[in-house]
Amino acid sequence: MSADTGEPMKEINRMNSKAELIDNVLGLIIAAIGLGLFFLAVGKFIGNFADQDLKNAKNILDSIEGKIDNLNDGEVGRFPIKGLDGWFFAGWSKDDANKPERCFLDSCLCICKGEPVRGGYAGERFDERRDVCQKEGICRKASKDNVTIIGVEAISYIKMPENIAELEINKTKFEFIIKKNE
Amino acid sequence: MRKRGVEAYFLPIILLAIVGFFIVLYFLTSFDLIGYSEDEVCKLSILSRATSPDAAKGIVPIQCTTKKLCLTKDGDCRKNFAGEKPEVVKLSSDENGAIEQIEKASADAILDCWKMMGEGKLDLFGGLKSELGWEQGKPACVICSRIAIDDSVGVETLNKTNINEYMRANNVEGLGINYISALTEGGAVSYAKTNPVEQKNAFEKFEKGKSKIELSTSKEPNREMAIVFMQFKPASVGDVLNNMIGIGGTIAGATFLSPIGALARPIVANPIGGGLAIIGVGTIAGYGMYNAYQGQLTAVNYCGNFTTSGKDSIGGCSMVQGINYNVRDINEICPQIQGNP
Repeated sequence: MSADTGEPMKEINRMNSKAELIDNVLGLIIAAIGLGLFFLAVGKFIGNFADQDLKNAKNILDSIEGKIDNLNDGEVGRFPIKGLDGWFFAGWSKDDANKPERCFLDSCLCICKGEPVRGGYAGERFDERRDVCQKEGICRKASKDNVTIIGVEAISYIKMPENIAELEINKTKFEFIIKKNE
Repeated sequence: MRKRGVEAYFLPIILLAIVGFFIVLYFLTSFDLIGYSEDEVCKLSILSRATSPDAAKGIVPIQCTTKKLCLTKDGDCRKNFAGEKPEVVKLSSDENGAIEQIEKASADAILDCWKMMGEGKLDLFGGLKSELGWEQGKPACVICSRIAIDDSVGVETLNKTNINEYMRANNVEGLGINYISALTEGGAVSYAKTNPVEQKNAFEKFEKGKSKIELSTSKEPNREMAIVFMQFKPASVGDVLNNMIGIGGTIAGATFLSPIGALARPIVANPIGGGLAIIGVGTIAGYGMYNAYQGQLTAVNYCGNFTTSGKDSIGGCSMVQGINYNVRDINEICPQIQGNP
């Protein structure tokens, strides 16, 4: 009796386990697809926001450039500019040999992300502006050959705050002098 | 037969899954924010930020771009907005018409800002010091709008504007209720009277170690205002609420952002959902044109529990106020500003 029913039962069991296997594999595939789509959606969503700092930096530089252009030679203007945390403002004159390659052969104004000064072991301070701006920043050709940024320290740059900075721009015939008012 | 049955059952599912995958993939890859208006992007980012857990708030930036509005009779707005792209509103040559346009633009900017930021009830900056730099008790701000009034508009015209009265007497377009009602979700339609003797800075303890806010009192005309949304989490929301409620039954919220020593600010309080929404009004004289204009700008405050995605509701205060757009005043109130310039 048992020998007669054994073979069909084995066949049924084998079929059931095969169906289960297909079911599980299918579940795994759909789960993998679902997860993939989920991560893609999250990545896409974050990606839309990721380059916002760069856009903001560009807008800030546009704004500074516009305010400079709006000044006549010999005029001084003070302008509140929204800051950008972790970025700094710098500029190089045309004959400055240490300017970033982004500036080509011109004088330029740049907004760059990172630390413009590196501290040494013996308390030295190394100017990192050029490298930082070359790596991550936006530079624009300045309309005057000479650019002076008056920063707080010897290595001149203006650290962008988290809130608002007031820039004082003095435009002369051959030069911009830009400083941050405290 | 059974094997064929199993295949016939699973094959359509696999095909559907693959087709579905490509359809969703197509929509995902074609999704970006380029086609959206600035307001839609802002709203989306505010909702995303508010519904993110604290730890993830840092990776969802607030994508609200400051609106630039230039009100002018015949100027070109370059003095205030050189290098930027303002919306230029040509004011009527008739003085009364110009006054109404200034009042409407200012009232709309306040209401838009308040609505856009979730009426102060959304927790936008998290509860802990995080990537956002948020610290307990330290305010963070978003500058919703900058409104500049060009030199072509006379000081006399500015002095005749009455934004508070405009907000009380006029309905919001398409809503059929006045601005005060729209700001307080129908909780108030007018300003209440207050006892000037009881006036004090209701928010003076908003930041530890900072007993008062000092804004510039220069008589130099300043024709640019910022409509600023601010949120902070005082050490104890209860203290702030008690402080506000305890002032003769009314609230001196506007004192918060008014030059110290200024008087007479009728306020109305309106409890909403366990919190407190306030309309504060400043009527300041003696500081010159700029302060007269600033004093007319209503402050909208909300103190209470935020609506959060988490289980525990966090308390805090939010407000929208017009502030003189200069470094000193903005930075005095906002140690940190988020959003796009």
